[in-house]
Amino acid sequence: MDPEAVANEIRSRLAADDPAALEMIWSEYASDLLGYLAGLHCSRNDAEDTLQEVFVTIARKRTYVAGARLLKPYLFQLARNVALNRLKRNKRIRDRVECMSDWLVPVGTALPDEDRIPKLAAGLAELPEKQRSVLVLKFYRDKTLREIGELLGISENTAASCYRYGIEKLRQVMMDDQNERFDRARSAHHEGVR
Amino acid sequence: MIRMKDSIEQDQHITREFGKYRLAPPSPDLHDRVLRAARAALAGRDVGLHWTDRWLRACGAFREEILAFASVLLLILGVVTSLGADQSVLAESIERLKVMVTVSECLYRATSMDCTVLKPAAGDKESRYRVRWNAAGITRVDIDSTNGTEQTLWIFEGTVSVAGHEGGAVRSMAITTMPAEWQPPMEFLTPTLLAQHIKEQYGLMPAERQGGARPDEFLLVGQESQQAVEIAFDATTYLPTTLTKYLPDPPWTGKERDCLEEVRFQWNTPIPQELLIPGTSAVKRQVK
Repeated sequence: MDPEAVANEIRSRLAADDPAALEMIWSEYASDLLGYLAGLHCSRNDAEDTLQEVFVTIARKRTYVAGARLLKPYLFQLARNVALNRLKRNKRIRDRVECMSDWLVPVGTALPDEDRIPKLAAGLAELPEKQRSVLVLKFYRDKTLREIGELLGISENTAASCYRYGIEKLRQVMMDDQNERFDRARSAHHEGVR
Repeated sequence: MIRMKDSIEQDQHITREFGKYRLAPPSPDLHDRVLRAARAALAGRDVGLHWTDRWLRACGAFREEILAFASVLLLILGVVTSLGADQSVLAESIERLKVMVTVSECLYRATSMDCTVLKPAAGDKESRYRVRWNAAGITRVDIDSTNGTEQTLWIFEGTVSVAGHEGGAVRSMAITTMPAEWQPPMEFLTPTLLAQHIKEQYGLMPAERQGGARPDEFLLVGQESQQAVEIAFDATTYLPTTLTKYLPDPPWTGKERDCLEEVRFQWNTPIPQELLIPGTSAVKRQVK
């Protein structure tokens, strides 16, 4: 079904207080929203709690949502606002190490180095919010830079810049980590030789 | 220390790193939990909503439709209003035109005209003219000016014959060479001239207040050379009964307007033929 037709259907159902609208929003947008929120919070649990709050907000402010011209970007903006409010309300600075381990999981059966997950997640956590969101949506939600720009309310060029700077910063983190591991391995090797 | 310097290779490496992981799947009960909470919020309807939200809800999600409807309504109102204004203006114009045509026709059909022109002067003095015209095209003008001069003019086909009241000889001249002091009554020389003035000079419109008119009259007002013109017409014959010229209304004073000229008309009453023959006697008596 055409995404715009779906959005129109959701709008009209929301306007009619039809709970089916919530189900439709879930099937159409929940995965993207959850991924975006996971990137914002760097935490699966926080992302899920925020997603619930987002849906409750959608239900409460359904007239606004029904009147949104661009439904998906509107929901992303709404999700961002809820997430930032939640962070502000909780007033807690999350321990990066604690939160970084639960929102990214290894693919398949291949077991990577145990410390690699924290390093990649830690690198993402160090990025500014926009850069992190762009990378998460690009790599984990397969969005194009244009789509990301639309969802985040930024231009495609800005999204591209965020992507470039994000990658650069991440590369730095990963490079330092790799060099450090290489140095550690070489030292161990020298110790063994001696 | 070995360091990777090729950024492309690094990018590929990072991409590969991303590829090794995925976002953690949502909790098994997330769907139920989220939708249950959302449905509860939806079922709560207006409870806890801000009044603006409640008001918006009252409008429903049809705000755009309401706005569109309001816009269309305003547009229609605007069009109707403008059309209404145009229609009323049009109707007024048509009505005015009909009146003018009828008045002109009636004037052209008049068989005689007898009008008295009074022009107030300084003090209690006034100039007085009596103009009598018959269907034969002869006009007699009796002038009783403020300086006591009394004269009678007979005007026929562009020639003016004049005789003093003392019984002097009758002189004739072309109407174009007529002295200026004889000019004032020329406006009412014939019904045709009067009709032309009514049609072209005065710009007559129906008076807002018809209080000055008798029940069997209607009043038209206009303007000529900074003077207000008011003409009462007989509602039956459509012939003017009184024409009054005023100085313009004094603003904000509420004072009575200064009358510059008053003309009283009588129509279609037979005029003795002898009065229309130049040099006939008993001139003065006819003026009063």
